[in-house]
Amino acid sequence: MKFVNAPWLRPALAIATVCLLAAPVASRADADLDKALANPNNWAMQAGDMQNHRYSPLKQINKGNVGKMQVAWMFSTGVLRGHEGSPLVIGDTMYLVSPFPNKVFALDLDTQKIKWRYEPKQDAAVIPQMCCDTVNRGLAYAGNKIFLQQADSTLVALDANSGKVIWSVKNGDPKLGAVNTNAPHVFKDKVITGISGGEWGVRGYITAYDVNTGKQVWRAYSTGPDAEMLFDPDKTMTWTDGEMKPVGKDSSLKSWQGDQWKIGGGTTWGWYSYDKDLNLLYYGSGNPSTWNPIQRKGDNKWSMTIFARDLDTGMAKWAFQMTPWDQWDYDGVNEMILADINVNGKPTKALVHFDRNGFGYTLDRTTGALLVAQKYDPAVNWATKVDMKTGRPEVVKQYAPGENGADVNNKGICPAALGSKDEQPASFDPQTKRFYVPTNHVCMDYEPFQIEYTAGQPYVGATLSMFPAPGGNSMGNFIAWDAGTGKIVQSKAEKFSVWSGALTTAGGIACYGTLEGYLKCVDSNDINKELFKFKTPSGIIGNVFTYEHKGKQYIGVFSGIGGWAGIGMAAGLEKPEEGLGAVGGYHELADYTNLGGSLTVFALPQT
Amino acid sequence: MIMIRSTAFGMTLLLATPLAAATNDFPTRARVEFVLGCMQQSKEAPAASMYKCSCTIDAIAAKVRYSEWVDLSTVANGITIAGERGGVMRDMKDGRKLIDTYRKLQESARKQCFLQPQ
Repeated sequence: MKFVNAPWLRPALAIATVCLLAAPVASRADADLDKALANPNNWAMQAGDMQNHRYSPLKQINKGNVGKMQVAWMFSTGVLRGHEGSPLVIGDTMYLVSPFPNKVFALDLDTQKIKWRYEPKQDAAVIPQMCCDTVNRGLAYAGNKIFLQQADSTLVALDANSGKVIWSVKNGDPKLGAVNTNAPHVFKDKVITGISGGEWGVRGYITAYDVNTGKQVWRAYSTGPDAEMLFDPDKTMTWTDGEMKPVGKDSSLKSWQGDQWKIGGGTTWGWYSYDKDLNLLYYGSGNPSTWNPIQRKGDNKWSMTIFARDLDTGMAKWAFQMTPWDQWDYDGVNEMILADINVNGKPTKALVHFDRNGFGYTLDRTTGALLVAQKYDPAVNWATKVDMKTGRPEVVKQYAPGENGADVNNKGICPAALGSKDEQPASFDPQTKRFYVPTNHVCMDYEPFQIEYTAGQPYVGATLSMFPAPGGNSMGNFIAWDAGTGKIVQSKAEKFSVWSGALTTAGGIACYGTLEGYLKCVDSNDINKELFKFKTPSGIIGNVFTYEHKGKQYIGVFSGIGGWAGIGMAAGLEKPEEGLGAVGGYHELADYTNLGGSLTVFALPQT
Repeated sequence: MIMIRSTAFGMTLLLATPLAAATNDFPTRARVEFVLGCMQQSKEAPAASMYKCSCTIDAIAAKVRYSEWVDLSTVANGITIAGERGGVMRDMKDGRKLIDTYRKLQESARKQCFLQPQ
């Protein structure tokens, strides 16, 4: 079928949208993705949907039987290093990508054998340009295409049937540290992708590419002149003295010293979301560069910011800066979860965000108004609270490296640089209306020092040491959160930080992985009730996902953190390319026991 | 099962006292996983390495509880994570000592079972 995407159809459709509420907007890719998302047997986007819920209506596996799950099948990517994100499932096919060199596999779910594979040619010089491991957070799907965001910043569209390249486009310059780790996201007829490299002084931006051609539709920078940020000084709004007001002219330029904004970070490597009715795209920007705050006094707008942009034009409808003049590396990139919940008793179209700075924010996603900002880890000490009128955190001087000068070691700051939560995404369960959040419970000493910018070199300017938060026995927690009131409902301690993304299902379970390698499923109504616990071959920093194939529900997760699994010794690390393929491919025994990251897929026993 | 209190950083306990009285509580799959990995690295004939590797994991399981073994291996693996996350593991107080404990535990078991040192 040829679906028409003719420009002349647009005005008619625009009118139709007004009349019919949510008429499907014209684009073949769009309709195709919507169809895939509507079928809960699929896992068609990284979060399972466009709202970042990470919730599945599947309930064959439920709180009564999840404890019986067994390993149904496994797949080894053959690549060492951290395995983040998760596969996608569309119909009879699973699609997944490995860390650098970003091998893509399409697996036939009937046989678990490889249908096709694609391995891009990337210069290994990109590896040392990546600050925080050579991870890749997954693929995107739409219009019978698979979208791969390579580490070297190349965005590629592959034919979902054959793995053949349809188009490819360069999204940044890896020589300057502009690399990619994020998953691309398809919303409507656009592929949205960000950029990494805040530790290299990269000036962050987000870009929309046409799903069919790869042509750049718009690009919006996080910092700089209004025109390059796609800000309208009169129409782009921000929370000001308790209400939404226009940002005004040169809102970013005024908040930096000189030209620092040009190497000022604000990268965009997180998870994005989209509200179809509002046609708004949501995402966050990362830390300002350098990590030495003394070199960049000012609010450093719009680093550390939640943006709402018109998907078609990229124009910013509103922006909310969480951590003005960052002094801790509390990137604002974590996922924006779009949920319709009661906030302070009132039904609200909310945006919920668990920031690295330790505050859980609830905003009105239509207007950008601040509704709730509360600590989601009691250890947070760098700020006493967020002033609800200004939206600014009330910073404690003792824990503010910028206030205390260069070469001073600021001790005992909580959370540590990687935040009370890093990119590992939370899940929203529409049944319990709660958010299930994997967290860090780690503090740091932070000593900033003067650093000169050199293009293509790390631009950090601080020395850190990190340690568990005082007074407890855990470096992480899995929490249930009420975003309407900003309260922790329950907290389940974990020995190690929880760096795996959560899944909730209609079966009344919440699942997540641990650094020890356990996949755990707990009761969504009482997260301290551990219903399932299974040790996978390596530590888990991937996201739990689920799908159904031929009437059977499966729950899967990547494991693989860096070095060797199982027996822990360093041997084999020198040969990260040793490669393997599916268990179904019957390679050597060793191939799927210890080498590389593994996907482990669970199901209820056959009866 | 009683969760031991040897959290990652409380695991210094583990160093101060001889390893906690083992309850030989390693699950089958943990032993098999070890044996497979160990055999893969061994240069000996499969049958020989299978016996030696099984002997090794049994010797380890006789000395340490499974949960402690998991903690030790988590720290040893965790330090190989690149970036900030690995930094948390590398900065962990007494982390190196824990890794040393982990290595020594394996070394003495291997020796006992006639496996070549790594």
